[in-house]
Amino acid sequence: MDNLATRKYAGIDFGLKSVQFSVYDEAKTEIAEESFPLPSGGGQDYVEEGFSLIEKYMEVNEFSWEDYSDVNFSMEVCTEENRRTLASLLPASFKDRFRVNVITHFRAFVEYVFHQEKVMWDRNTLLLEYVGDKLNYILIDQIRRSKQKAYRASLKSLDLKEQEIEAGSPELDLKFSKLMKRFLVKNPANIIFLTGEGFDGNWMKKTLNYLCAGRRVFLGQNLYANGACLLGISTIPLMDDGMILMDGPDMVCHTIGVITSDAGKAKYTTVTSIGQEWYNTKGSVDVILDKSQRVEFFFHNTRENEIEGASCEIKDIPKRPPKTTRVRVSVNFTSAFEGVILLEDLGFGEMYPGTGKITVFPFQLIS
Amino acid sequence: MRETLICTGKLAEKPYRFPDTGVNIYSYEEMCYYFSQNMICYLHTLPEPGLLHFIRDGLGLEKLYKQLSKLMDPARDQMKFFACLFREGAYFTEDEIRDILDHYRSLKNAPRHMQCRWLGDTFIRNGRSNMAQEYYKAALAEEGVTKEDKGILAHNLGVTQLRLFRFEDARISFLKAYRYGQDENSLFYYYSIIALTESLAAAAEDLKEFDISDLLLEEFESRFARFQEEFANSDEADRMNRMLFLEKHERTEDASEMRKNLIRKMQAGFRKQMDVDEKLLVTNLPVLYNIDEDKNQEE
Repeated sequence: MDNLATRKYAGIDFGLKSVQFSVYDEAKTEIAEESFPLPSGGGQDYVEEGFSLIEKYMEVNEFSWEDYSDVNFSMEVCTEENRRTLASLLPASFKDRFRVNVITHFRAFVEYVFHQEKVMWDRNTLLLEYVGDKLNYILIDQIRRSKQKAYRASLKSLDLKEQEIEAGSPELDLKFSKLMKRFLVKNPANIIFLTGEGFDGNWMKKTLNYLCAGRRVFLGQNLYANGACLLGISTIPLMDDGMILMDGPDMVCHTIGVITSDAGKAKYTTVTSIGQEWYNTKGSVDVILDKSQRVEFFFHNTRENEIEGASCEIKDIPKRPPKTTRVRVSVNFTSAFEGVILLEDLGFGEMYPGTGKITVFPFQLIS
Repeated sequence: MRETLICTGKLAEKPYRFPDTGVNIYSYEEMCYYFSQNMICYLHTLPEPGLLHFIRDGLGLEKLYKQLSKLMDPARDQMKFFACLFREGAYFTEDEIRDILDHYRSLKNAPRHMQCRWLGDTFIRNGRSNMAQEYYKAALAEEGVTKEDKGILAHNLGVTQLRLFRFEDARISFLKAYRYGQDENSLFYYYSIIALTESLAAAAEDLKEFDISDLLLEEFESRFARFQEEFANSDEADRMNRMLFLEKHERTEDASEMRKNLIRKMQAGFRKQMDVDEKLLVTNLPVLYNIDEDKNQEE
């Protein structure tokens, strides 16, 4: 009997020192992981170097991009230049099949956590990443405990030098365990993930004893690649609904939408939601103009819970009867707090043909 | 009061074409607007089942499709069908829906000749002159139509015949229209047909028996001159001139290709004017259509 066709999803993480490749196979319901250290030890060209390693790995194993239903990427330094470099390296066949979706490590971790069973994220979850002299941490906590729960993921960093903690020193375990005691009082967590080269070397004794007391602790180096991989399977419904506030660089924290009328009452319709990087945040919605040629917008700052309003007058479109102009409202970000709203005149089918004229409405959000 | 409305459903990739008018629609909002403007076409019928498939597959409105499927029996109150359709989205307010349905009720209760006239007007507006002509004739055949209404009906009938290049029929219709309604507009159309098919002098001569003033004749002449000038500046005239220019300069192949294209375009436009949908002529004509008779025939 022929094997049933099952889907595979790939996630590739470009770290500064290694590139990691994760594949989720529906048939096995598990993630296969591969890690390749960069020969040069990292540097400016880490994306190019990492990608060539992935290409070699795929060639040796006779893998093809067509084997996967979706492929997503995560990057340690997710600059526009690096994203563009990656896009230029990918073959045309890849771009025909998939869009080049690059996420940050921060988002990749959140994707990983929220793709796990509820117990993994319903109470406070913490990621500790020990790299060099820094301890980066991501804390996911519940900020609304009503029926519709909301979560906040915040990315912060601690300088271990300030704490007099030095990698390789005999007092590392003792000092680190003390730091954890102080840290977890301020940032209580039930689930802890540990990642980063700093945790290598089997030095944790006291630290692990303390961390594991009443908590579940996981140590792994492929979290980000796994997060990118799981993103391909499905999006997180809580994120789609704007229920995860991502408090970190490049993350959008404003919900943008249009204010329309429904049976005479104001109706707030979301165009773009929070929780994603600004370069991955896009949205569009179609509205019908009634008596005027004005579209009203709302900008909801979810971090401060403040709402700001604005309106845009669409000019130079032919005079048509009320309710016979369809306008496509598209929101595009140029940074986490700036962007443009494009309003395209679609007309009203063949009865009142559209001009295709686009009105550009720039916006600047208050952080 | 907010002045934008959120759209319902998606924009269809392939349009739905209303068989009555030939109008294509791509969205739920266009559908609502179309119905609100063309309720006259549905006095005794309901839209074709194809529209329901468009609602489900083209617009992605599965719930509305299911609801409307239950209301597709024309023997039942059609108001429910339209009320259900309009209430699905936010395109019309409750007051607007009530107004449309009240208007629909008044259309249903109007005399048959008026219903036929409005149907004729709808078809002529949508470039289906042959269909419109049938309704105007049916309206004129009704008893109890006032002279004034007969004048309007005959005038509109003349317009449809003019569009179909039936100049002789059109001339008679405009003449009748003037006799019934005494509308100078009908007389002008009568005058124009003679001026076009014969000459301006013949048209002026013909008008003498109507005992019209010199002032009116002068007005007709200048109005006709304006029409001619407008045509001389139209795209069609421009194309004709270019064709003649090419022929004059011995570029006969180019001229012939241009002529073919022009004829093809005119034929395409004219085909719609000529189309007569026998089924629509029966189903849309009130009174003639009897559901019980249909049922008996089926049995």
